[in-house]
Parts: sequence; C-alpha cells; structure tokens
Amino acid sequence: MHVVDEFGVLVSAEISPGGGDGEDDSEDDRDESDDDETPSFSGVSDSEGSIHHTTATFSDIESDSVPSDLEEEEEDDDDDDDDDAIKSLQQAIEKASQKSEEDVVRIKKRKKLGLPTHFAPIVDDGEDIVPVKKKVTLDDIRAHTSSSFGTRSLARLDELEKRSKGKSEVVKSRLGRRLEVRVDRAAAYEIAKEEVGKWEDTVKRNREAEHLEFPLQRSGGAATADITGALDLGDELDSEKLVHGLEGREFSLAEVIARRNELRRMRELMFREEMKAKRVKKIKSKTYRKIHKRERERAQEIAAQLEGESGDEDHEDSYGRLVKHARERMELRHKNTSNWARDVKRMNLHKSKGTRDELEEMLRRGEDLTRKIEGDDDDISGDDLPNINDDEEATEEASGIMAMKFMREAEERLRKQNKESIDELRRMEDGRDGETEEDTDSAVKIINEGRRRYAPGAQESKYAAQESVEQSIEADDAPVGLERKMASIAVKDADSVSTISKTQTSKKGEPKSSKASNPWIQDVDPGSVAKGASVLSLSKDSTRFAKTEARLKRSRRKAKKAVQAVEDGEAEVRIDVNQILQIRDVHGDPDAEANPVNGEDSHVMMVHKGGRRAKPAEFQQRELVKRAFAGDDVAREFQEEKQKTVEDEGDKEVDVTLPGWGSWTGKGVRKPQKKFIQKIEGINPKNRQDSKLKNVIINEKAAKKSAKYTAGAVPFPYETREQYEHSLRMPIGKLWSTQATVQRLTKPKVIVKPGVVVEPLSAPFAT
Amino acid sequence: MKVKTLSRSSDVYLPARNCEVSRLPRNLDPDLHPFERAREYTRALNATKLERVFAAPFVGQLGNGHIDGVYCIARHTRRLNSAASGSGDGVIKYWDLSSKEEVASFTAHRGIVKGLAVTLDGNLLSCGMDNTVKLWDVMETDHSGGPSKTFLGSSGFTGIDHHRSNPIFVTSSNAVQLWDENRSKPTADLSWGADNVNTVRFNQTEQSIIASTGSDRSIVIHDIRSKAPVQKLVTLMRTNAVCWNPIEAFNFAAANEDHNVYLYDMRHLTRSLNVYKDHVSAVMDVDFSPTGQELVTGSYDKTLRIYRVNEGHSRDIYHTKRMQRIFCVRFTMDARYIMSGSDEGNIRVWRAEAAARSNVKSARERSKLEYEATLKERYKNMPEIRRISRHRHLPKPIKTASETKRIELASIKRKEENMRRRSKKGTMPYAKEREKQIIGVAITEVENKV
Repeated sequence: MHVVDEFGVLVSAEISPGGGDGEDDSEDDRDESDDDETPSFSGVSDSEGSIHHTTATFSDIESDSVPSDLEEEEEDDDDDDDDDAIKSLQQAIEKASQKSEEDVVRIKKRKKLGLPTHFAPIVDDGEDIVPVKKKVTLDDIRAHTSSSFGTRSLARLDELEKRSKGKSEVVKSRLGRRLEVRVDRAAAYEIAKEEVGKWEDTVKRNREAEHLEFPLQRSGGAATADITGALDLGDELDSEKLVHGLEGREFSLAEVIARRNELRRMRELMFREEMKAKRVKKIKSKTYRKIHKRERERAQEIAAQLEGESGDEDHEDSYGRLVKHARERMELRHKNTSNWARDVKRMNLHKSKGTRDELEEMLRRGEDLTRKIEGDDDDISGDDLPNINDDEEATEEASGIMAMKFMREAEERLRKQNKESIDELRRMEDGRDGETEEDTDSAVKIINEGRRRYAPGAQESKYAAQESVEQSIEADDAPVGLERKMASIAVKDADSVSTISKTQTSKKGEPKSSKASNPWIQDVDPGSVAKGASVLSLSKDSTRFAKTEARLKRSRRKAKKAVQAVEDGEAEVRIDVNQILQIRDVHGDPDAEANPVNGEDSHVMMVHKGGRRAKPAEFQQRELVKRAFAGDDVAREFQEEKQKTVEDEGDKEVDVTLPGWGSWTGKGVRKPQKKFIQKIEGINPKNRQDSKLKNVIINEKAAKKSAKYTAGAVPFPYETREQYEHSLRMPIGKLWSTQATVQRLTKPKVIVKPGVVVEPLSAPFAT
Repeated sequence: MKVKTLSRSSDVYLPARNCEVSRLPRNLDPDLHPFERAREYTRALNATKLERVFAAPFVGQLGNGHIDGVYCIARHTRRLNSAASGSGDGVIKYWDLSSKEEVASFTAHRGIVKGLAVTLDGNLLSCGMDNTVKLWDVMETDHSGGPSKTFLGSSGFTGIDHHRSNPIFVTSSNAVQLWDENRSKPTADLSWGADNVNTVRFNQTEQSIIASTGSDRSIVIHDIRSKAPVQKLVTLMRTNAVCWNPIEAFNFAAANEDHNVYLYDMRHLTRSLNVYKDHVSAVMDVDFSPTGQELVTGSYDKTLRIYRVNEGHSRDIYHTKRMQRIFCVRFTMDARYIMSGSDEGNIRVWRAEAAARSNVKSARERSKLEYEATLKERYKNMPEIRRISRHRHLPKPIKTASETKRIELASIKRKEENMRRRSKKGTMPYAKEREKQIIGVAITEVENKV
C-alpha cells in the first residue's frame, strides 16, 4: 500500500486528533499531513459535512433537512392541550405530508431531467434519492385551520415560535465520521481496559506468591462428580429404592442377589458397630479408673495412719512404701517409656486434651523424681513422709477432712516431732565452739529425701544451723530454696561472698565504721574463717535433723571455699580498695583537691571542683580536654603510622645468603661473594592512592583474596548492605536447620507438574 | 577395659515408623558447625560449575526437517507431544515430539505457509500467501483429498490465531479479519489503518482481546466484543511478533526489529514495562512460557535467547553451528522444551533449562537439586559464581557483532551527552530507555479522561 519514507510525517498523521483513520485511500494520507495543524472539523467539511451547516428555520420549509424534534417536545410539555387543537394539528400535518410527497415527486422528476434542484446537497452522489422528511411549520397550520379552531392554542404556538427562534439559530452539527469512530474506539478501549483490569488482583497475587504450582487451576469437575456418585450410592442402600432402580436398569438375577447380599452384609456390620459402641460407652475410661484408684489408696492410707496411732506395727509397711517409691524413682515409669505412653504416642492419642494432660502429669512426676535422685530438689518431698514445713497456723483454720479428729491428732503428733527436732537443733547450737559462719538469711526449707549419702561419722557432727532451721520451720512460706541459692552464691559471685562476710561481722557484734556500708571496702579476715574438717555421714536411718545439719554444713563449706578463693585471688573480682577510698575522701573533704590524682580519677575530681567553684564553662571544657588528652600527640602518631605502612608495603630487601656459606677460610680460598640480596617489590610510595592525601591511609593490600567472596555492589532487590548481608546470614543446609525448615527454604518458586499441559489462566465463569 | 556406654535402642523412645531407617539425632548447635557460610558458598560454587558441566540444551531435531525454511510452528494446546510446522514451499508437517518423528507431510499451500493455528477439537488451520485459509484434520495422515474446509480471502494471509474457547479465528492480511469456523466469509473486519498486518495473536486469558502488528510499525489492540480496534501504538521500528502473557492478562511481549523485545501493559501503552536486550539482530519471534515466568526469542542473528520476565538480559543463549536465522520459536505446553524453526529447514528441540533432566528423580536427588538451586540463587551475586554462571561460548560473528554494537551504542550515547552539554539546559532531556522506542499512541489517557 502506501509506503512512507519519512516516518515522522506518517506517524504524526496517524495519531493526530483529526486524522489517523486508515479507512481512506492513500490520497487521504497525503492530505492529512496538512490537516495536522487544523484541528477536528476541517476534515468534516469535504464530503458530507456541508449538509449540516444549514440552519433550520420555521419559515424556510423546504431547505430544512434536519429533522428537529424540538418543537414537538415543547408541545408535549404543554399542560392544557385541547383535544380539538390536537385534531386540527393532525389534519394539518396530513395535508402537509401530502404536499411534501408531491414535492418529492417533483424533485425526482427534476433530477431525472438533470436539472439542478435546491435539494441537491441533500442527496449523496451515487445513491438513490432518499425521500426528504419535511417539516411542518406554523404557517402551514395557519393556512389550513379555520377560525373555528381554538385560537388559544394557536396563540400559544406563536409564543413558542418566538421563543424557539433564538435557539434554532444554532443546530448541533454531527461530528465527522472519523471523529465518531475515534470516540467509539476510545470508549471501547476504556471498556477493554476495565475488563482486563479485573485480572489485576490475580496477577498481583501470583507475582507476590512465594510458590507457584502449575497448573494453577485444577479442574474441579471430576472430583465433584465422584463425590456426588458416592452420595448416590448412599441413597441406594434403601432396598425399595434399590429394587425400583434395578427394575429400571434390567439387571440379571445373579446381580440382584449379589447386590442384596452385599446390602445385607453392610446392614449387619452397621448393627454390630452400633452394639459395640454401646458397650464401649458403658466401659469407664482409664482416667476414670485411675482417679478412683487414687482415691481408694488415699483412704487406705488414712486408715493405716489411724491404726498406727496404737502401735508401731506399720513400721515395716512404711518401709515397704519407701522402697516402692524409691523403685518408682529409679525406674523409668514416669518417663514416656511405658507401654501406655508408647501407645499414646503411636496412636497419636496425645492430641486429645485428656490424654495429653495425663501424659504431662506423668512426665512432670518423672522429672520431680529425677530431680530428687540428683539431690537438688527444692520442692516438698513425697506426701508419705511427715513434712517439716507444716504450718502451725494452718491447723487452726483447717476444715473438712483436716478438721476430723484423727487428722488433728496426727497433726499434733507431727508438730510435737517438729518441736523436738527444733529443740535438739537449738541445743546443738548452744554447744558449738564459737565459730559460726552461718548465713543468717539462709533457711532450709526442705530436707533431701532423694539419694542417700553414705559417709562415716554422721552421728558425731555437732554443727547445726539452729536459727535458720527454726526460721524456716516457723515461716515456711518463703518460696526460695535458699540452700541452692547458697550453693550458687558460693561458687559464683563475689557479691554474695561479701554479704556472707558482712553478716559474719555483724554477728561478731563489732562496732561498724561508716566505710563498712560499702561492701568493697570491707577487709576480710582470713582467720575468722573456720576450717571445718568434719566429714558428714548419713545413714538410711539417720534423723532428718542430721540430714539438715549435714546439708548446712556442706553449704557452709562451700561458702567458706568461696571466701578463701576471694582471698587467694582466685575469684575474678579484684578491687583496689585504696583507690576507691581515695575518691571517698575527695567527696568527703573538699580541701583534698590538692591531692595528686591519677588520670582516671581526674575527671571525677574536675566535675566536683567545677560544681563547687562555678568557673566559666568553656574554660572548664578546655581544661578538661587538655587534661584528658595530655600526652596524646595524635597527629604525630598518625604520621608515624602512615610512614610505617608505606615502608611496610614498599619495596623490601631481604638477605637470602645462606648462613655460613662462603665463609671458608684457609689457603687458596677465594674472596667471599657478595651477599645474596633479594628485592621484594612492593608498592611505590609515589604510586600509593593516599600519597597526596595527608590524613588518610588507604590499604593497598586490601584483602584481594577476600574480594572473591564479596559482592561488588549491593545487588538489585536489596537497598542496603545490611539487607543483603541479612539475606546471607542464616545457612540453609540440612546440617544447620531442621528438615522442615530446609524443605521450606529450598522449595522452588515455580513448580511445574511434569507431563501436564500448563493451560493459561482462565476466568472462573468465562464463556 | 570395655567401656560401657549408656545406650538405648531408638525403638524404645521413638514412635513406631513404617520405614526402616530411624533418624540419626544430631546436634543443631551452630557452634558445633563452624564456617557454615564458607561451606555453603563452596557448595553454591560447585553447583554452579556442575550446572555448566551438565548444560546440554540441544535435545535433537524433528525428523529430517523441511526442504525449505520453517516459518511457522503450532503446538497442540491439549496434547504435549504434538506439533505442526509450515515451511516456505507450502508444506505442512505433523510431528510426534516424543519420538521426534514425522507423522504426516503434505503440500498445503502454493507458496509460503505463513501461519498455523490449532482449533478447539485439535484440528489445524493454516494460512498462506495464496489467499486461502485451510482447515486440516490431524487424525488423517493422507491429505491428498485436500483440506476439510477452505476459506477464501482477498489477499495473501500473513498470520492466523484461534480463539481459546470459541470456534472463531482471526487472520491478518491487509486487514485483520474475524472468522467463524462455520462460515465462509469473515464475520468482522477489525483493522485499523491501511497497511499490511504482519501477525495477529489472541489473548489466551482475557479471550476477547487480540493484538496485531502492522507494517506501519504499529501494534494494534482489538476487541472482538465491540468488533473494533481499540488502541494503536506506533514504535520506531517494526514489530515482528507479539505474545500475550498466559497468566497476566494485560501484558504482552513484542519482538521488535531494533534487536529488543518489549513488554507492554495494554492499558498503558505509553511506556513499556521492560526491555529485553542482548540480541544483535532483529528479533523474529517471541513466545511466553506457559508458566508466564520466562520468554524465549528467536532472532535473525541465528540465536535463541531465554529471558526471565522480570530481568532485562537473557539468562541463556542457544545456538548451533548449522542453525540459520530463526523465524519461529515456541515453548511446549509443559514449559520444559522449546521448539525453534529456522531458515535452513530444521525444527530443533531444546531444553528450557539447559542442565535439567526430565527423568524421574528420587526424593533425595530432588531435595539436593532444590538445595543447590537455592544456594545458587543466594550466592549468585558473588563475583566468581556470577562469572561462571554467565559464561557462554558464542559464535564469533555474534561476539563481534555484540562488541560492535556496544561500541556503537556507547558512541551514540557519548555524542548525545556532548550535545546535551553544549546545548541550553533542559532542551535535551534524557530519553527513558523504556519509552525511547514509542512514537505515540492513538488514544491518549488525557483524551480518554475527557
């Protein structure tokens, strides 16, 4: 077709607002280059536009081609339309139309004769003559109406005519065809855009999706069909329905029988299942049984205690119980290794709440026992042993079973026992030989019932922490296991050591200086620490006081050791007591400013001084800086460092002469050769990047090897170095994380099911 | 002395499993596994090297190819192993991709076969420069009786495409025409402008939209609902092919004569979304992967390149010694293979992933591959890994051509920069790379708003 060399010209023609429609032939293209400047309507006037430039008036009937419905509309608006008026109008219109038809015929005739008509512009060149729709004017109506017609309506029409005269001067011109098409296209484009824009969300979701599994859409038809098929089968279980269905389907007799048998079997199975369910419902659960068993046992225990009042014959029985408990502890019964626990795990029963709770309970119990075995139990021991921590007040408010007589008696007995033991401890306390390192704060709350410790001479030990035990007995609601605390104290920090020593001194009752408030300043007297050399031994049947005592002893020993460690400088904290004292002096005595102070303390001094004398701030600051950096010649140091770097990285000469080589003596020995000196080429100081930068040292050997392992710049999706670093931080591999994590991290972004046609997306309800 | 260690069978404390191997417990403490980054880097490096070692993109060619050049390929939309090709001497061949054998061969047109399309029931529509569109039954191997239907046009057809779900198709000649399979005359004329239309392509997702490219360097969007063209874009150079993204309804790629492929959003044609560079000659054809994540281009420079949709440069380039100018490329419907038809008459099948193999893999192997892929992705910006993964041996002409092109572009840029420096400030604004090629659109947004 039309090939244009100057692309620009053609293109501008194509997209210019007036032209651009390629319907027309090449001639059009040529014209349009001119049309560019003249917008819109210039193109209209050539072929068809001239019609529309004529204006319609009521007086000029025949030249008016544009059917204007303006008048008619206005007539409709009229409220008081008389019927007779309308009739007259209709008549008038009929007559007018007759006249117009005559006109058409006349025009046709003229055309045939080749004569020019004044309708010519209306008619298209190649086409047949279209009958021209003529307009009726008021004059026509007037001509045909007699005076008998309502003059009122005519007057009104006159009025209308006058009013509409101004309006009818300008008639809307039809847009050019091209422009029309253009507007249509714009509208269609808008619609298309809107339609296609409905995919926006889907596209966005797919783009943001972590994984895309193709084919994206599954055909759900087959699956639903299967499901409905299954449902149908369920309906057909009804035998009557089945029979009816079978009649319709014409099955063979054998098939019918087989089917009936099958149904019968199904029904039988269902019935059995139902019966089984009933029976199972009656059976109480394991939990139920366990709870009842526990209750039963507890009742038995109480009964036994009642009996025990009379005599000691149940001694053996209690021993048996102890053994039982010990065995329980040693066994893995409360681990999840029992058959039941394993079953629970295997059957995934631990997902149900009840079973899980039970399992947890069991494990907790197991843990308690293990802790006991290890001997660091904080908690109260088993229920079967008399508890030292029983509260005295608690008995007064007791109610329920505790208010019963036998219980109260049992409690009384217990209290008596406690009292006895306390007394004994107190006696022991009195009989000690003056050396106490007892921690007054410490309270032993529990008595170890776990592993027994066998050691000689348990009975001989005389040391006991009477006060502490008493405290603990009287106020047993102290929740902290102080014994453990003590142990940790002794091993770890010097802070606690100091507290220990503090309490020591307070016990001694010495007068305290003001310095003593600072624990650091306290001097520790090694002499005061007793060297307890006693070895505790406990037997199975040793009393719990003995045990308590032994424990206290142990803890004491530990504390002592720690103190010793502090003294020997083994502990990590070392304090220069004098220095701190000096500061204190300064604070206490303002005159001490003359005292020579070393650099570290100077700023403290200065602040203090400044505060007092209220010197100008800037002077202070300058002074401060001066003092702070006294002796710091940073610039010189930097220059030296740079010099050194330059030398280090510059050329070097290395003497590679073998030692002893050429140092022969004797007759005929030639003159020794010169030294072998190897020159290792470095970086020429002049070529250094920082040769002209005074205050910079640029590392010329900047890790060339590591460059291989670093990205040159921050790669695209990341915005900062930190982000990129972060993305590399955690390793992915199986060695570093769990299977599930690895699988999650390595799952590819796009997964295509192999051997399947990947269809393009389609709208869910598209036709 | 025998040391007794505390040991228990894992059967005691682990739940019963149906597989034999019980899990070996291992310590996840990171302190026990030092140098994890270094180790993973090394793994990534090795994986990258292995990928290059195993890269064998060429699968094979189909049968003995055609006698004349191959100018169009159609893949079956519902069967994976079927394809058809049309050549310059008017011959159409059916191919069985699994055996790489020819199924049928017949002369369909006088002169070149310009386009092939698959109908809803799997039959083949072909169009040629002999003013005909012919419908062929693919189940028949003997086509001596002629086509099952012939549609006559007024001029030679240059392209054809079938609607995805209705029995209608669209052809391009000197007009864009919409046809019904059951009628002999076109049902609508959708053309815009007077020039020849080169190709036409249906949108597979938003199915009523068509894109066509014309010799007047235009891309026109048509809508068969309104049976009219709706938008026209004119670019600096001619567009040879278009392809719609199968999962993004409004995006399409256009292969241009200016060595680039452009990605457009049909709603905003005043700028392209992406420019795919690297070819050193006109791009003749472009096709999206069915997953919509990649696109393949065939070029007049005798190479085939694969691009990721959101990247600007190709991730791979395929070429052989004997392959001539490529005129058509197509992904297979499972997104694993690429077919290319070239001037010397061969149809070649390539792997979309050069190092991938399609055999059935054990879970272990698969997980290893996935792990390696993740590592490669993570460390792809390390210089060594990037170098190795990007390294390709190119034919000398392409190498030199790309070098020349680079120099030329640099010189143009330099010249522009000089001009800009010496002209009044603001008179020479920088041209945006994504808008450079666009001369204008017919319906501007401003106009549309009013």
